[in-house]
Amino acid sequence: MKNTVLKKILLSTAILLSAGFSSITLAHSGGATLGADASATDLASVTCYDDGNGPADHLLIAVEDGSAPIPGLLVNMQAFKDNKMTNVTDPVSGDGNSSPEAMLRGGNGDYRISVNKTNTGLRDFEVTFHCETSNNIHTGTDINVLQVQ
Amino acid sequence: MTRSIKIKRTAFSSISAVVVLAASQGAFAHTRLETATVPEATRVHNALNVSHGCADPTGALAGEGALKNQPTRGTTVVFPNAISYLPIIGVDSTSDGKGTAKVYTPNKADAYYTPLAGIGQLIHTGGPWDYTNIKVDALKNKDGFWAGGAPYDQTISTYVQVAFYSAAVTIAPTSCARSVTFELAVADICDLTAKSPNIGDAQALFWSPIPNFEGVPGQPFGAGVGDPARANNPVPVGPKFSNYDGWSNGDKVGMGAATAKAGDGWNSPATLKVTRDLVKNPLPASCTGNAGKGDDVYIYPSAEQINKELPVWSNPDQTGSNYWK
Repeated sequence: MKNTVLKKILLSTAILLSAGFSSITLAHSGGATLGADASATDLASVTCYDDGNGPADHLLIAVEDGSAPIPGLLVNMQAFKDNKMTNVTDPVSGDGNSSPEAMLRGGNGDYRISVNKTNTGLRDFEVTFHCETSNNIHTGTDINVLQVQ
Repeated sequence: MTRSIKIKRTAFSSISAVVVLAASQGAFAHTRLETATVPEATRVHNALNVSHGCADPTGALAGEGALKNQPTRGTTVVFPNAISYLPIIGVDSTSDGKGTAKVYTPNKADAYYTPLAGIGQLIHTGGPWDYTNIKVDALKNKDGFWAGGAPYDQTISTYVQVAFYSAAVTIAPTSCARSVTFELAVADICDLTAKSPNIGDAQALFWSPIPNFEGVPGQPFGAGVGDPARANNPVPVGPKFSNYDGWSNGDKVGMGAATAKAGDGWNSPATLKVTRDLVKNPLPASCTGNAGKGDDVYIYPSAEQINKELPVWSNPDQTGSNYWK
């Protein structure tokens, strides 16, 4: 009985880990599929805080489009906090490389990150996000998903 | 010889008195957080403390003097989520921190704090129960956790502790909130076979957040029949808030009976209070609540969230095998 229960728990956790844009996938990265609509946008909130390594100074973001390239269809990622915003674009889809990194300096607190695209069509993407101190040391980073389209 | 025996007897009596006193304190203590007040923007290694077991199922020890000595087999905890649900929010601008003058506000939660979910995140540390899991909403944001397994002897009340991280919550700079208090929904389970609504204090203890304050739609919530004997904790006549408010007739079966009264933990939830850093995050000059010291804001999980997420499932997203409901 106990072994059966434990196996079920482990299996459930494995399934959840593979589900995509989730706060329990690889630390500080998450992936999903943007819907076909040109306006499809995924939105999340990243909390930066001092986890003992020091207060956060900025958020670093990058996005990788894992789908096959289609002319005119690119994936973008934005970060927003305190009336400041930045954007990155993966310039070549499906090449295994992510966009350049972008930094938004907003200190501790909640940053909004969003992912959208330039045209109609499904896009498999993965984002990375790291809160760092002024010395570029990784510090507290948590995420909550707000919208998936 | 005589003096030696007398000293031994006195010492033994003293020890016995301490044991009884400790048991009494344990019997009347409530499930609460290890660190119930935290500063904003700070993640805290926290813990839920289950302080005693359930009531004697024979009913022989009913009433306030009963020792809560049935072993606890698990606990389930829900923190308010303002992404997938609409928590009930009360703002207290006049009672100076007592929480006795909350007024309902339709304002959204992000007017007062962020993040809007993930307030409590389970830590897998290998203690005290073998089986644990997180709870998530439809977007996989963490809303709470459950832990269960071996029953711990509670004949003399003993703490059972489950570790978790309380999130680094930021109070909105533009708000007048000097504190944000999250009201948790908790059920300490002693009898896994008992299913809602046939659950009394002998089967599970519900430390339930009941938003009985001005302006809340549907309030006052309460037992079907108010219990005049609870003069210090009057239970207003009214409907239930959620399916897990915790009603008990004192021993075996509760909820809905004509003799139902509020269970031990009715409207006595564990809370997590986040205090504003008034140096780094000062109040706007226009704030007038509590004589300019700021408002105290209280966040209650919605009944929808409690009903959906307090039960115990094998999967985090309330699917799979149902272990308790």
